Amino acid sequence: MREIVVDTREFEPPAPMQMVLSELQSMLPNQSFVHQIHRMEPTMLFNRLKPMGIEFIVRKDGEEYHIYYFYPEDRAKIQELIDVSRR
Amino acid sequence: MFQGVSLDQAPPFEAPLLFFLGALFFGLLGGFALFFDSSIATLHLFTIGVLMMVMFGALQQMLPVVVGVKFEHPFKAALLAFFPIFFGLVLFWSAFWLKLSLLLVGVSLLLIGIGGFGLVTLFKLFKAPYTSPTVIAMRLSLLFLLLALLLGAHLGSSLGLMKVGKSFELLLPIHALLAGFGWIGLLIVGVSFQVIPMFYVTPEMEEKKRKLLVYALGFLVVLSTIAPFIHPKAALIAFITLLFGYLLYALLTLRQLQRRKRALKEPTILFWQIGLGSLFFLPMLFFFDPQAFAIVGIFGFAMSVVFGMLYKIIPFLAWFHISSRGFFDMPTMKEMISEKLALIQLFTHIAATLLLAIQPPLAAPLTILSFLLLGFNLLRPVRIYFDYKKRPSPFEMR
Ligand code: HEM
Repeated sequence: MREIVVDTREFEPPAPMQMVLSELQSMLPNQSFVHQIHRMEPTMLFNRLKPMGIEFIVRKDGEEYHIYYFYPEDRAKIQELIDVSRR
Repeated sequence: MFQGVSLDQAPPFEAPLLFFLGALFFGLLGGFALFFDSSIATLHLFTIGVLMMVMFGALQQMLPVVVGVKFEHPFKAALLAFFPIFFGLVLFWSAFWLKLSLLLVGVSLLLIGIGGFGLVTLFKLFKAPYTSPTVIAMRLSLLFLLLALLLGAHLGSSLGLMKVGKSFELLLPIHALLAGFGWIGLLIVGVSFQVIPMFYVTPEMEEKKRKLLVYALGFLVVLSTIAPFIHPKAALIAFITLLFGYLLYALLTLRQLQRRKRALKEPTILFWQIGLGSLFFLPMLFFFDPQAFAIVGIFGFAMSVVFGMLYKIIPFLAWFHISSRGFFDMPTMKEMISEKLALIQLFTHIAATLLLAIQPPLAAPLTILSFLLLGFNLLRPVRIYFDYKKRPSPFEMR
């Protein structure tokens, strides 16, 4: 799986949402996922994902939030990747 | 493959906009009223008419997004709350000039509008799929609002029936305490945890600190409410401790703003700094000048913060709703608000607040000017929103 990293920690709204939405356009099932690093939970963005059929997992690490976006069928793989990288 | 976003969960922009428009109306009415009256009746044009209207609009918008629950019929719910509050407040205010018994009608309408909206919102908040310090602050805040409303209704109907007894004197300060430091204060605290990191690119305040602030402030509000029934000294100690609790909140939040990742200089940060800075004056003013205490608390703190928030939330929502229909060519948030005019509005507001604390009738022209400027500044993002609304969505054309 290809990881597309988007670091939005230092961007003012609406840039973080725009950056993630734009990367999501190139995300493909079974091939890639988006990994956002942000300073808080981007709740406005989460609301936009439901109708798009994209899922996400949030992990907090100190002051940072790591948010992983993927297609539903990739959930198991992503979960495994996150667990490995965090060990 | 990705199909674009045409649906979103946020309520239509028109729902909060209705409340924001109401706030503008009451701000202007309040400004004109100040020419001939600076009584508690006129004060309520600002506390209910401006602050509560904005907060109801903001709550309705934030609930789905922050808390994950939503109103089934957002625009209908907004209308059902808006009109009783609107006419209730107009009657409440004019009763003091025309006929005190009108207060009974005004108070009943306020009970329906505020009570209805407050209860529904509180119910939704208890059903929230997850809790955070913001959610807890919002629940406490609404609970205090409902109590303040009941006390206010008691005060209003006592006046309306010309039956002002001993309970009036005792309950009057408790009503003001619950409304000011319970409802408005805790709501600002909870909302700030969410919007400051978002809009000002700061780290979040640590969860432990956020929790501590919310629980401590909530507890101190309860304590200050009960204490007057026990001993006047206990009441004084509880209330002063509460004021210092808010001072601590101001200190932590100002420090958080100082830590922003980019030293962005823009007027809305100044609105927050002035609002939070106002909290430092409250303990002293409480002892020396009760009128200035109320003005600095309501206008210096709450109104400044609310203005600062409107300048961010309205352009953001305009952008959000336009972009969720698939447009990408709209003006940026920065282009939607003139920083220079926002700064001028801020100075007008500060001058009006200072004059209000000293010589209220002199504050009337500046208060009017301040709300006119606010309306003018916020008109642009709203116009942009409606311009785009008329155009067919690029998604629909595909
Ligand atoms: C929502 C925010 C509100 C705030 C911040 C607020 C604040 C205040 C304050 C500061 C006072 C003066 C207290 C004193 O002199 O010690 C007051 C009095 C009063 N309030 Fe409110 N209030 C609010 C809402 C309401 C509501 C919803 C009602 C009616 C349903 C109401 C009815 C009254 C009445 C009748 C008085 C006494 C007026 C008089 O003595 O002439 N208030 N309020």
